[in-house]
Amino acid sequence: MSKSGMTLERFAELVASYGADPARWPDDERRSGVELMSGNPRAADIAAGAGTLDKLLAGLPAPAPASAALCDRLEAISTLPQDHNAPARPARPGQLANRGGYSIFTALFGSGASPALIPQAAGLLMICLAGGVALGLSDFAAPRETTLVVDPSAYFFGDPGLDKDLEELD
Amino acid sequence: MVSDGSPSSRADSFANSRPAAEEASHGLLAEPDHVLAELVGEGNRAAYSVLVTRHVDRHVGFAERVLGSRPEAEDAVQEAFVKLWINAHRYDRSKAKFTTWFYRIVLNQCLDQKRKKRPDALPEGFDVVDGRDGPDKELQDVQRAQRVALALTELPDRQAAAITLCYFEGLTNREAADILELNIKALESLLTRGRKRLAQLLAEDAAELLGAP
Repeated sequence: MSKSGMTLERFAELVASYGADPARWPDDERRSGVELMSGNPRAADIAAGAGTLDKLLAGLPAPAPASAALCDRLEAISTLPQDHNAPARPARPGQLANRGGYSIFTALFGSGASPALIPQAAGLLMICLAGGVALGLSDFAAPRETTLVVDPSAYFFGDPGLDKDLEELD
Repeated sequence: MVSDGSPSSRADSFANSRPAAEEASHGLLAEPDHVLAELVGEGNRAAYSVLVTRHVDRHVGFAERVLGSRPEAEDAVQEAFVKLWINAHRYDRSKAKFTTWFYRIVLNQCLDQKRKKRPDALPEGFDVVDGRDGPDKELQDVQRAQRVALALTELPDRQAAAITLCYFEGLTNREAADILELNIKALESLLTRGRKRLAQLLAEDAAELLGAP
């Protein structure tokens, strides 16, 4: 245990979580951790064991800055009306296909409609659908007896193509 | 407007396309994030521009570490900024720092995208070649970095996020825990498991590094 009270067990936990670099350790444990590491060979061994992974992680290059294309799209976001209900966004190619239900909803009710209305709209559509089915099954729409009258002259006089064919046959 | 993506050219891009907004932005440059976020909540485009310029690079980098793909990272950050523009009026500075709130938005967007991603999709930009026997040290370093980046994306989501926040974003354990909505003990548990798994995935690289002069 260091003078300031850190146990070797806690030191091992600290290193297992944050690595061997004291700069990453919690502020309130850094001083006691450094003290233990410098005065206790076992603590120094624990830190050395974690140092390899730290080096591998440190070898990752810094990410490149955001692309100009992204910046243009981000700029475009602020040109859209700020609607607190309906998410409107400039789409990347291929993203529209992922909008799913909301696209259908906006197509039916307009882009200004609130997504919160989707359940009500779905309910309304279901009621209309059920009404249509019920109507179809009722007497009002019962199939009536029909007689098919075939008038050959209608075909002959109504279809110049056929006349033309007959002329050709003549 | 063509820009090279650097912070200064981005500022120019915003400025040239909207001179009035640029002028307004200059007046806001010194404002802290929470003030800007409140202004964005009122529809202030200049404040939004300042927040974009101030935070875009950091969050694209963060998203790239978590997702392992630059295009996906840019998509995630775009969606996060849409949410910022739309939901800024919901930001409450008494509950969280702006950076904590926005990191949460970006992280949640990354995790959503990861869940939707095809399971067999490989991270883009990581054409990993085992170059351990190659003669060129610089090339070996690049390939090793690719393997480390790939290993990071193979961790469970929250372990990868915890390591990214603590190791690459330079956040304190309290800040990282707040973003992940965990207590410190749970954060440390995630970090420990994440490091252990990374050490397994990168065992050969670690051995090679130890053997290096």
